[in-house]
Amino acid sequence: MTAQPHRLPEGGAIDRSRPLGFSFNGRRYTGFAGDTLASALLANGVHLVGRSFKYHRPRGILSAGTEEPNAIVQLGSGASGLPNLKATRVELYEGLAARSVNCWPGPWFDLAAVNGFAHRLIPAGFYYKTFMWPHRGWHLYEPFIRRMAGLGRAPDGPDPDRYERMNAHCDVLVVGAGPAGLAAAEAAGRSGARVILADEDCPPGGMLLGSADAGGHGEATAGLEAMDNVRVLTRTVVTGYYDHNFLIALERVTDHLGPAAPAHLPRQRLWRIRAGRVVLATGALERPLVFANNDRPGTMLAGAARAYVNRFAVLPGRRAVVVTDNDSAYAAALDLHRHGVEIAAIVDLRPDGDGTQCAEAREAGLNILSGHAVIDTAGRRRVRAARVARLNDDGSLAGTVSALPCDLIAMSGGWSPAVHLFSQSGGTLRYDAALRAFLPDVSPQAARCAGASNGAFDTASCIAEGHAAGAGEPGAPGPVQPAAPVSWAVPARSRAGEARRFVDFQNDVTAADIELAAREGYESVEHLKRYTTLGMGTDQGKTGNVPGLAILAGTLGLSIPEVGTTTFRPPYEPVAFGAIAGRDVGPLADPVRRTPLHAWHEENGAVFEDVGQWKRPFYYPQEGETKDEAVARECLAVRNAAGIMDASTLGKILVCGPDAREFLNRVYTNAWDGLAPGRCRYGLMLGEDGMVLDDGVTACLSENRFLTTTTTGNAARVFAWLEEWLQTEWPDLEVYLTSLTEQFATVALAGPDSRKLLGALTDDIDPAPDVFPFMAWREGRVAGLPARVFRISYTGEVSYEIVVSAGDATDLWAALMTHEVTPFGTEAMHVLRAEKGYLMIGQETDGTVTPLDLDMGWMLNKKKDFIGRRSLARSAMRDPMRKRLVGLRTEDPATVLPEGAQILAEPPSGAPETMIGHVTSSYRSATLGRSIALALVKGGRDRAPGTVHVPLDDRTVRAEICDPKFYDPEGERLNG
Amino acid sequence: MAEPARGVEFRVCPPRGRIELRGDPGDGAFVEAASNALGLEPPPTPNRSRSWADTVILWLGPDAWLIEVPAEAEHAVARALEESLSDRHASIAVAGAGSVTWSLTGPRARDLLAKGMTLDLDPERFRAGCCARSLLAKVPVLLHRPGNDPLYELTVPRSYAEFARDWLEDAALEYADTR
Amino acid sequence: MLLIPCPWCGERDESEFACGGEAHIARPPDPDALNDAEWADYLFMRTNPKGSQRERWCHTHGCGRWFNVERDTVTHRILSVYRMGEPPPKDAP
Repeated sequence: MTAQPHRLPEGGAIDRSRPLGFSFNGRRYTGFAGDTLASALLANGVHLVGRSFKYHRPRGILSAGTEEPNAIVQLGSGASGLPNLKATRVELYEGLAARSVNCWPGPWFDLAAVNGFAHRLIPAGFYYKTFMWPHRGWHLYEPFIRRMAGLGRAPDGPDPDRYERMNAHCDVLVVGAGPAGLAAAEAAGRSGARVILADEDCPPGGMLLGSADAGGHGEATAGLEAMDNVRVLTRTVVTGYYDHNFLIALERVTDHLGPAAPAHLPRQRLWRIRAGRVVLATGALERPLVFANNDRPGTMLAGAARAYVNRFAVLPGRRAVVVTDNDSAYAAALDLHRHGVEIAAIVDLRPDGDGTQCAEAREAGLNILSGHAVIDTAGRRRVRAARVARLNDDGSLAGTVSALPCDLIAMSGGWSPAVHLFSQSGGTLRYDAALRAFLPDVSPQAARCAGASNGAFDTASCIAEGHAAGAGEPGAPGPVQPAAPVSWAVPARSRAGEARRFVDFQNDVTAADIELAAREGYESVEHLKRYTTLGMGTDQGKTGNVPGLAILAGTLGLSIPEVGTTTFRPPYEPVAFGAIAGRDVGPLADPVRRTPLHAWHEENGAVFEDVGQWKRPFYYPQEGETKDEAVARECLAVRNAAGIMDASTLGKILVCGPDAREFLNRVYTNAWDGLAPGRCRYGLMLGEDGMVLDDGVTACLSENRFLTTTTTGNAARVFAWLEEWLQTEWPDLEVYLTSLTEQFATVALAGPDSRKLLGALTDDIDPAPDVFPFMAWREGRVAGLPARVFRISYTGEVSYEIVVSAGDATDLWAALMTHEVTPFGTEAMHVLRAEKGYLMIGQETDGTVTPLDLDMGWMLNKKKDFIGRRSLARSAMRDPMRKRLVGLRTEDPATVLPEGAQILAEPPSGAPETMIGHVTSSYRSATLGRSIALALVKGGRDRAPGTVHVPLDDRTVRAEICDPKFYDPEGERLNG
Repeated sequence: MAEPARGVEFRVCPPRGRIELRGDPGDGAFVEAASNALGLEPPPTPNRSRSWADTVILWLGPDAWLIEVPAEAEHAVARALEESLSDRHASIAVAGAGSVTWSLTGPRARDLLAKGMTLDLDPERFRAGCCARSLLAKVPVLLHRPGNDPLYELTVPRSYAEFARDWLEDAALEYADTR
Repeated sequence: MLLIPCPWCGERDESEFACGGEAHIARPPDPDALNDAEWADYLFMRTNPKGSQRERWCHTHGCGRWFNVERDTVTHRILSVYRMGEPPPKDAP
């Protein structure tokens, strides 16, 4: 179990003194610190790591990085299970337990592999062609298809891990810590700029880590760490580039530690970075070659094979065929050769490779087959041989085919600069025919590519470009190594082979699929993508997209730039939902606002209701009481004695200045000219469209000072609305607004006994009705506390709102509670006001209701202009058949209609019904001993007396239209 | 074993008096009258504070300031302002009970705030004497950097105080131990 | 996420602001002088250009001031900001 038969005895950036045990599909293995799961598996000779998405073909490790399409694994299980991780990105830790995701029971024997035999039956567009018809069938097929084609297993409980978020600012963000990125960060750092260098790997180094001369990056990294103004974020992948140089990066804080992770650290941290400018040193991604059965385990990218042997000291095979259409794979061949891998041949699709490394390979005596291609592979769960044939100049097959026995095919189809983030920044791309690559062109943002992402593939050019980009200097384009014009797909000898030339390994898209889609008319690359699913896997087609669109171009007889690329969208790499949510979960998901009396409510068993962000007492159940019983008790207490309610959440705005009165005249429908100090008035506020926005009572404190109240839910909105008019439309008005919502607490004291009670609590306010009339306010001391008392009512009873400093609220409440009072919650308040037919904003109004609809035309002053007045003058606003407020009495007094229920004029007939309105408020009234409801009905009280019908799930309820003032219609109780 | 060093310390400040003052800084008579009452001129520079003795004035907007005074002086200072500004267009509102202030200090105090704030808190930019209204974890806050100890004062509307405290405690978990 | 230069507070994150839509639409001084169509035009109709647009924004969670922003609706580039009552920079002499 500790053998690691494919590990080299020395070398690599691994720590042989720290062996780590892990398991894969239940079997136990050992690797070393510094390994990825992929390198550790290869060290143990495990190449077969999963099955493909559609055909369930055996698949091996293709890459050594973020572009991996095949080696997708699941870590752990249950709530903490992590699906769809790339084995090439998972750092090994002690006890790591991984499974393949797309096979059952396992990759060695996968029941669904029968899909592979039915291959011809699953062509491009297979979902659309097969299962969308008959239409009703999809729901039958879907679960089966999803199971067969599933990727990973979703966690089955709340995520136990912790995710954090961090906002950061910098002058220069450098993405990628390869040679270009390190040089850029160093140059920017030396200029004194605030720099963040983010790299998805650890340690920094990028491509240098996988090259033979690994180690040169260490010095550069140390230099950066010495600079205070440079922050190096390793294991941090920048996943999104948004407007105004705002980027998102995901740091894997403790993923690499597994169970040993310290409990106080988050698993991952989402960085939100605002950068002055951005250097994208994101490197390039190697492309696979497209030939028949190019997906057999043991077939990998040449650069990856090189990284495994150099960085991880792992032999990915013993006898390798290297196949390439460019010079870069020669370095891989040489490195493999140096470490003892037998190179069966370097198969070069070009007639003649001429790079320095080609010469080196010749010198080393490696067998080079120029103008040849690998056209097929042999083997089942591991490649056994490569079939090689000579190519004609036009790319067609020539001559005989020979089989080269091997256990590794290292392939290179050239390199695609990683322009994903550049493109996300809004940057345009241009196709460079010489490089056979899309290169960054122009970005509307301060973004610049350097190094391989800019098409500079040699280390010296990378460093030079990085340095210039980091320093903000103009950069000279590096030398271009032209690529020979070779075919993007190698023909196969048989139809079966033609169908197994894979382009997108993760989604099992073949060259034949692309050709078929093009024949069927999917000529736009965006259509091709959606029809064939090319590039739609979790790897987003990092390896296969460019070959895919090149094959499309070839089929259509177009040039590659004419076909273009699909849109690059965030995220560059999958991001866990947990990381996006961060700590915005559970009780921290959204701010909660609490009144100064919250602790009392809590201690006294209140059930809370959310009103916006506020927690308000809904009702206070006593032992054994149901909600209905508690609400009934609270309502009756207010009607028959006295109740108190915490009304601190109402918005309070100080309106101050010589033009305050004029301002109120403009924003409220009614007139404020006559309101004297000591008096208050109910006001209705409309939007400019004439719809009711808010209501509330405004008190005149002195000639130039008014205190306006708003509803709880609209407080912030109304304050912003008033400020907007003052600042943008009427800057000439001398008015200042100050929000006092937080400064004051309000306790409503309501009921026939409230006058007596108030009298008992104050020495300097005379509650006698002749000196303290309805709609007046007085200042004095209540329970010894400085207070303003407003005689207003939302219940129809004699009622006072006592306003004290928020710090005094608990004392006031406690003093009130020494008397015979019943605390009541918002539900009782709702019932009490509905019994009076009083409007509740947000319940009777929904942005489509005018004062006329509410029979509140008396609130509209005719002698002045006000916001919304002109809109009410439109004839349609006076249409009597608009929905207007009515009361509803159900035939059966015990029936409480559901709020929102639709209303019909006639009993339902089964045909499509014409709705004439809906129920807006509905309660059981203890006072009246029956149910009551308010509704908006076409024609309103013109229908009274009359019957309407309210269809419910199981029956239809008959109700009578009536006056919404159910209780004390004359308002006699207001004066007690 | 010694107590582990904490990366950030935050504690509720004792109640303080606060007055929200609004007026036109272009009106010389307003500025003079306000300065006379406060012993200190309201700072005209955006996002700056000014302090002298027990009084701190923080810029809230181009015509708005928050005046911090000892709790027991709140009403007296408000009255003095009202008298001094009786013939000017100005708004004076006592606001001390409406918010809660925390002091934050320690090497990770800035990181703690940066978890929930988009303000650039670079000590070279958000220096001593800087203040700003912004959002912390969606809560409207006023952040002030009075000097180096405490590093920050965070003022939160009273109704949000409990939520903000829960958020700060949660966010500070990873900084509990700086070893 | 935009970075908006408030004329008072400098560059702040978009989350501190509220957008008030197209700028320089003055409320008619005498609404009764407008017929219904003209009133509806004032109330509802907006230019919605592709390219440069003048908008009102409010630094709600900062200094609380409304101001004008000239923004390219395609690139989101902010071309200028100016205070309420000030003329747009291009129109300035």
